[in-house]
Amino acid sequence: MNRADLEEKIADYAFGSISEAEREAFAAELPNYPDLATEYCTIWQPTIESLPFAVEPVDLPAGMRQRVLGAALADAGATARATQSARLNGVVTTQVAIPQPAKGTVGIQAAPVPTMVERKIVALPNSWWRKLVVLFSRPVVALSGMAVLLLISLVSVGWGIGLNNQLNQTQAQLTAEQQEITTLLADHDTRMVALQPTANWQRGYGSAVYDPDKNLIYVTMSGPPPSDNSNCQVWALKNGQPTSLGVFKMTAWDFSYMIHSPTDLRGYSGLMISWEKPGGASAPTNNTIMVEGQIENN
Amino acid sequence: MGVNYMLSDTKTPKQVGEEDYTSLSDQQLVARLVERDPNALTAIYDRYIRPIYSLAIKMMGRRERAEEVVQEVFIKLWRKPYSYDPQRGAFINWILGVTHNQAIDELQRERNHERTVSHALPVAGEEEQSIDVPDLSADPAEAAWFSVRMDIVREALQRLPVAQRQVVELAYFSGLTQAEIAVRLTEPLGTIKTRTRLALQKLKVILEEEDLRGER
Repeated sequence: MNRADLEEKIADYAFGSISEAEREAFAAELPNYPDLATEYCTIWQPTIESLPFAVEPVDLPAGMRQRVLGAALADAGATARATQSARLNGVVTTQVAIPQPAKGTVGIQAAPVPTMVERKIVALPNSWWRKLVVLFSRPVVALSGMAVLLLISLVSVGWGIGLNNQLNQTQAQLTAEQQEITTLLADHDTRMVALQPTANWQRGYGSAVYDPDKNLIYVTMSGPPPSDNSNCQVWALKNGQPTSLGVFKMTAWDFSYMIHSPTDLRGYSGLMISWEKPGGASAPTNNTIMVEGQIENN
Repeated sequence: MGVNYMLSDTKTPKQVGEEDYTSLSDQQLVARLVERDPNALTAIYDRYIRPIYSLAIKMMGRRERAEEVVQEVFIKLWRKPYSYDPQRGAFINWILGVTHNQAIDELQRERNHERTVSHALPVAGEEEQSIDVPDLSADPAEAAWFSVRMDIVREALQRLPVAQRQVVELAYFSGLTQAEIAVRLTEPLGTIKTRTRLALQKLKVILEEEDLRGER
């Protein structure tokens, strides 16, 4: 870009209406022309920065707070999960809580701990295959990827077929989870909860998005995983009494987990998470790491 | 154990020992975001959502599309809070700039796909549809600052000649390039460029006058 180009483009650059490539080229060249740079910094930029304040404030749509914050936090969780899967060396594991129907009335006693089933997907031979697994979490890529896999499976008789099945299984699992998260966030009944760390987990943060009608809770946590083999156990609180909703293993600093609650979430007034022995406890011990700070009913 | 199991299902008052995020500065909140603190994101949302959403709906025209823009802004903020450099100005200017850029990207993407006339600005007397939900941001000092700033900028825009105000609004709120504005107004490109430059120069002078008047 020369001076004439800069003069030609300065208004579009200042108003943000040129392409990314032009923007970069303009920004790189501007310092070479001090008079134009001064004009930009003293007239165009500060004046344009004031313009949003001319906008008449409008009322906010109902539920937007939950939708926007829920999407932002869940997006980070999904990214972390994908990264986590990609980082795992050799073994990809996912845990799914299988809800058990309540047998009879248990009053305010703690509900049975949901059974955990760990699905272990066998060691993938090399990083190329692991990249495929991550790639397969993208629906657009899935179909073409499936075709490639089919071809490979035909050539690589035996173990190739096995891998194909495993990858399909992973893809289906990830896609189902993504759909579930999307559905959860789109639901107007969804609520977002900020989880406050206790003294047991001072460097941690967390949040939960849940739908009391569908009994789904999407927990996002960020902080140091337990140094031992403890599991995270999620509890719903009613009249001060905890009911177990599920148990999972936190394996990375940024971690997210979808819980299908075995109990009806309506009527509960809070959530908390504790570190418990593998498989969970019947009641929280002294290792509570996060408690609910706010529930927003926007 | 010291854990309070009794929690309400509305915005709870602060508990003993719980940190008051509303007292943190923008810079402190951004530092918390870098540490992945979701409460900081919530605090920023509560502090600035109204101007952010108001700008988005002004540019996008419809509530759903404005909300998409807002959502993208907060996803970006959560993903890359370190993109904000305090050396380069106030956080509010930066986040509104991010909102503006996001809205322009959406408008341009739509124009590239459909080549239809943009939503442009609501014509005089035609206000945006708003939904009757009380504002959640509640800091009186913040609200007062916004109110004063809004008065100053609106007054400054009103003092521009109509033709100059029009090019500024088409460029900023509709995201049109100078060439697109020329086509829209059926005027030579050179005229539009000169008018835009004059408008910005005049606006700067008026804003400075108004700022000075406000300080007196």
